[in-house]
Amino acid sequence: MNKFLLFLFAISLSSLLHAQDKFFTKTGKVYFDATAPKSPEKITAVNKSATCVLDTKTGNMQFSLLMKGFEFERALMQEHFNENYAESTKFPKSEFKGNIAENANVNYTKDGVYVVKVKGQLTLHGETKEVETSGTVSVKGGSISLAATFTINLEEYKVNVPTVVGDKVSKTAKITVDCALEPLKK
Amino acid sequence: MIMTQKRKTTLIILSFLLLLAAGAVYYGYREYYRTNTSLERSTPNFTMAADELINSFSSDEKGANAKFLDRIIQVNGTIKSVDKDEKGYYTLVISNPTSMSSVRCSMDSLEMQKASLVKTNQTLAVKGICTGYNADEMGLGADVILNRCIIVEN
Repeated sequence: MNKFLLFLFAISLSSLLHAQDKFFTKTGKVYFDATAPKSPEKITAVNKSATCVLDTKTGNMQFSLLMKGFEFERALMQEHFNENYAESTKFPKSEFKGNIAENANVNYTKDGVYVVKVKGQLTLHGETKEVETSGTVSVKGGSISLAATFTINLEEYKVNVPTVVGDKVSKTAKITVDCALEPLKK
Repeated sequence: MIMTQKRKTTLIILSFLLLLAAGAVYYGYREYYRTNTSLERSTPNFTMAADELINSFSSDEKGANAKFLDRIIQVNGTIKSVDKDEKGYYTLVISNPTSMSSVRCSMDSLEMQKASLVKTNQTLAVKGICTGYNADEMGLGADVILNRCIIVEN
């Protein structure tokens, strides 16, 4: 009888652990900064509704956000971003599909901060390019936080920055990702 | 200086042009620095049940995008959850209890206090700007997302 109970306990425990494989959020923060050096004003925006799913078993991660979700201080800047640069009506979404390299080195069951390398494909303005960046995975009290900052070349994504605005808008954009993930309950 | 009729006219025209120029500069300045104002006093372009909005997108995303993107939409429905993220930003999730799809209302920064008082299963109306639709690609359910949302008082 005892062995049977132990067996049942082991099964239920393992199913519980399996349920903690995937973590997600729909309120991930992604910051965009294309301020040119010496620019008189900041060209920055924040998207507070990024979706992120992380499979802790494989290190596979996916991000998705709506371009029109980027909020700028100045309404005119937001309109120009959507209409002239990102062409958000044509390309409403941006996605990232990648992996945490050497995911096995991250202990998702123990609180801690792990510096990791992430590699994947970023799709922006209809173009998909390889992106590699370092980031941190913070495990605390059953939640996982992901943070990373990387720079992209806007030209690579066919986003045209006219020379006339070159003193304000940089040809490169700094992307900062900041997400707090919770377990996905099946 | 003798004010001839010709000089007088020229002066009037110049003053008028100056006034026009000043007006243009003022307007340009206002427009350049215009911030996204609260939607509290804005009339919604569309008013509908949350389910109806979700169905419009799930059945014809392209058509719904053309119709709803950047428009002020007022949705009414039941609160499935009140999501508060680690930075204190609120999102009201309006959904039919049996559905996996929802309308996610990212609240205006000035509306956080009111949002914190909202309870699950409450029915209310919220208006915001439609930023688009996330089809169910990652097994998390589909969402229509509204930004700068305000709770509509009756």
